[in-house]
Amino acid sequence: MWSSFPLKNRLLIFLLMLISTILVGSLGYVIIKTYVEHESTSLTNAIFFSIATISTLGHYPRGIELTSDVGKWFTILYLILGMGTIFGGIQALVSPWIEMKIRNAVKERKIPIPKDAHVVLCGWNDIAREVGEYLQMVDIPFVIVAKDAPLNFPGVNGDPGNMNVLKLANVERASALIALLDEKKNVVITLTARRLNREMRIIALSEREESKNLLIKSGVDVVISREKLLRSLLDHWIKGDFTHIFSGEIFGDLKIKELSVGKDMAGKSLKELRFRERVGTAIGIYRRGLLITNPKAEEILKEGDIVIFMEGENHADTGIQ
Amino acid sequence: MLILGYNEITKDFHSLIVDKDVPQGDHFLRGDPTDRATLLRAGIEKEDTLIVALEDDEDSIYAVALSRELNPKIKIGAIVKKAENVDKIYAAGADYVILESDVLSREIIRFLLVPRAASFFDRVVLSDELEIIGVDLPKEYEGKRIMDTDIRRRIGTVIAVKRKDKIIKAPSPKLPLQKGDTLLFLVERKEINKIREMMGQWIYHRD
Repeated sequence: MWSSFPLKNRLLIFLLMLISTILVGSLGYVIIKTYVEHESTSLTNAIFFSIATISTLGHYPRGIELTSDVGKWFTILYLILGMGTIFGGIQALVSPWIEMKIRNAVKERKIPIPKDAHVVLCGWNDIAREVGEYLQMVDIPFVIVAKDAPLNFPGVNGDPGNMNVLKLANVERASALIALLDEKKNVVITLTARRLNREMRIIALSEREESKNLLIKSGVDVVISREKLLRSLLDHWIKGDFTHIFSGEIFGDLKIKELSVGKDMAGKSLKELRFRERVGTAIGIYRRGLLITNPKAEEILKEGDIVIFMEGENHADTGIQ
Repeated sequence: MLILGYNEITKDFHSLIVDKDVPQGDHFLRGDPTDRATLLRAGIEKEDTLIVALEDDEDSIYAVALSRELNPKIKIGAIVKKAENVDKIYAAGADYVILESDVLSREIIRFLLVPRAASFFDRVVLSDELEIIGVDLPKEYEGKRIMDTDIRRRIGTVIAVKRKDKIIKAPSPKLPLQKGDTLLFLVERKEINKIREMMGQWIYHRD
């Protein structure tokens, strides 16, 4: 029952119980002293008896102790009741206080958790660290949710598969979530997070390609298959093909970018826009879900198109280096 | 090709795989991949390519050093888990090293920030739907600027020019082409044959 009360109320209840225990003891003492042992006594003696008993002082000064059988039985029963009150009370009051002290000492967080449009990283490992450092560099707010979340980033300590823990990370208003634990855990995280936020993008890591469908069914938007990615990189290296030569660009400095075509650009061709000089080399256009590779310079852009382009080493250069 | 380490990444390569715990089969060899005798038994001296992907980075580093000693000419590609081990394994003699967390984190960041570009490049890297091909510069184009030729119209956008050991990425249309240049294009796989017909022998599909 104790744990259901907040600490402040617990203190109040403890004090009330203590006072009523002392009152019961004092009353019993006076009654027994007066009507059983036929001796006169005072209020001071009664309270002294009560406190000496429940505090297990172990010794009563002459004239205070109850000498009759009834009095002795009363003392015994009262001792048990009093000890219960004192020890129960101390335990209920002190242990949560100590717990709170320890928790604050260990997990004192100074970095606030972002409130909206942030990225939630679930799990703490080398990948999470690298993603976190990159997001920090480009000023995108994020929070790490893990049992062992580090202190130098915004973080929530706890199981990311738990709804209350995810709520602490403000998942309801996040723009993306990245699940970096094992497949089983990532499925649970996704199912939990999707109940809180339907809109955000969920990216999950999977060890095996075969888990992909399960993750997607759970609500993941993008599954990154570790096995497939690493094997492909090795494969391109073994063949020594041009994709391998370009893997530095693809996996290196993120020189390949994308651009959404807005009203200002729509209706004009790449040539008219001087896209090559001003933005980069267009290598593909996504239009209504279809991919156009090698767009011609005369290709007219439409609103909503997404142009994939490569940044040159220098846009305005003459090409002679 | 020889592979050290049997796991999710290597299990589908059709080459001899050496590890302590491998299934029965013709292309498996049970043994300690960091043991000299095992490597010799696997025929490392005669192989041209080696993939090292062991569970433990230290084992991988040791296996690379040992293999380099046993076969100075072999091409070695390796996968490591910890960033600090990249330099060590290169020093041990690897030619190509993949840092697992690096590749995966960059893939995640790309899908987070530029999702379309990310899925575009997954088509190149993962599915081969798109492919980067190289075409030797035909004689008739030597000395001309890219914009003065019909290359873009006939094949596509030149994404890079390989000139000797250097790669000029996203070249300017004003770049004068030189004898010996290789032009790199990104094309759909189904177009490759069409281009091969058109351009004849100077297409490098793969080395």
